[in-house]
Amino acid sequence: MEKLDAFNVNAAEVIAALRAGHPGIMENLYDAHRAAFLGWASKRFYSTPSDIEDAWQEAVAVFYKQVVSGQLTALKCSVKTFLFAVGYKWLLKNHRKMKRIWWRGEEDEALATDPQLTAFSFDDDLWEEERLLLIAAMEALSPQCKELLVDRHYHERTIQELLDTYEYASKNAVTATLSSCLSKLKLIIKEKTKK
Amino acid sequence: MSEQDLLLIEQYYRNALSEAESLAFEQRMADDEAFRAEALSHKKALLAIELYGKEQMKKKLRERPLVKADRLYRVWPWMLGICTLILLMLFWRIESQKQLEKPTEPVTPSTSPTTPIPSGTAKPLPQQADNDNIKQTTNTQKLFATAYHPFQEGGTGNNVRSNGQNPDPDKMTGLNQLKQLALEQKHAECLEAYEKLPAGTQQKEMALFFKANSLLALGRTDEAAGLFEGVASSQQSAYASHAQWYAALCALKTGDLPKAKKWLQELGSNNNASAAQRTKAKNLLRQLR
Repeated sequence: MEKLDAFNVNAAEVIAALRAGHPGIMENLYDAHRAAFLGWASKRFYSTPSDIEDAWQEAVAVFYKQVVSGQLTALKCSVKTFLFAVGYKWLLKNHRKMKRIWWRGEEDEALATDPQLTAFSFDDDLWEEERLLLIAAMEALSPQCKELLVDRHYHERTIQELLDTYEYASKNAVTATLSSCLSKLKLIIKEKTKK
Repeated sequence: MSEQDLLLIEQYYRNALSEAESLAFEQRMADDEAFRAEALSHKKALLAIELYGKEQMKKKLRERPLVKADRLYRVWPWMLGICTLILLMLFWRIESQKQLEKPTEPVTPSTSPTTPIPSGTAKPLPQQADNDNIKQTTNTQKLFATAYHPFQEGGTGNNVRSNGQNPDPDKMTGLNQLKQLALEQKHAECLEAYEKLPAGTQQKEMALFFKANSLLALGRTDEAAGLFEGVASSQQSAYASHAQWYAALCALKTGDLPKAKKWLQELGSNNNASAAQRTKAKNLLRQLR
């Protein structure tokens, strides 16, 4: 794939690249706008650099997930504005009391008026304990199961793509392995929840 | 739980069911406890995968070296411009500093355009730490240049009274020759004539005064200052008040403002000095303040 200019690339190109299975563009976007976001957010929040960096990672991860899951197929604003707005929303969610400047920018405008952002909410609105339990359950799986499940359910790869990537005899073999791994995961979560 | 039910649950969470199928699914969840439990367990497993996948992605982004942003290529003209501006400002500042540190050439007074002004061999000015001091030194130099005129007998306030003595004619000849050379601005010859004077005559205030006068005119300010101060301290000398004035000017030339003020104050209150000399001293003192 031809390398995209992360500064000038438009939203449609990014979305098309991600849908075509080129997650590398996320790294370019992450690097291209990271410093700008850190500077921008630190002016708006009394927060640690680590929290702001976390917000930026969250924004990139959320954008990626929304695109590959098909929830986000086009953007009304630029990718940069969307990422800034999501990072901003994450900071508001976790550090609302630390907000210090009340001016309005295009990100505020997008957050208030863009349906893609007004309707958007962070899925993992969980207690920290529950979040850690679920991640620990995943960690307890075999590397093969983890990889397969993440590819299928996080990166939204099709069964055919998994068959092409891994050494399985058939689609049925892929499906059976996926089913088995998912059952193991459910069992582990059940056991960990009981404790 | 049957394979079909598991497939149905997966399709529901993938948003792959039609609206009618989704409604039927939700109705079954409300009615069938086991089915509901399985659906929620599936949802939790998917959430675990998503959390883990996101953590993995964030970790990958965090731990990988940052790709050098291409933005550098966009901002370099700005950076170049800013650097040039900083360099220009530095250059301007250094040049201004040099200008302030450079000793000002004495301005020849308009009344005597041919009068030589001592310069060049003057004691180097002390290095001043800040601009205020540099400016002050520059100002004293300017004042010196304006106030300095080689001694002219008969000029305003320059009348030297005779002490009434009748010295040896030979010695008088030597002293008169010395004085004449000094008044004619032949300072090098004046100094040579001084050296030819007998030792006793060399110590006379008049001889010392004219020697100092020539030394100052030739820019040998330090040597001149010592001689003027010696003559100025002698209350009996007819040249004492003139020596006070020139001692003050020597101090101005070397940037020693307190000493210049001291000599001017003494001259200002010297009853043996003429009124014109006292006024001149007071005016210069006022300018120094």
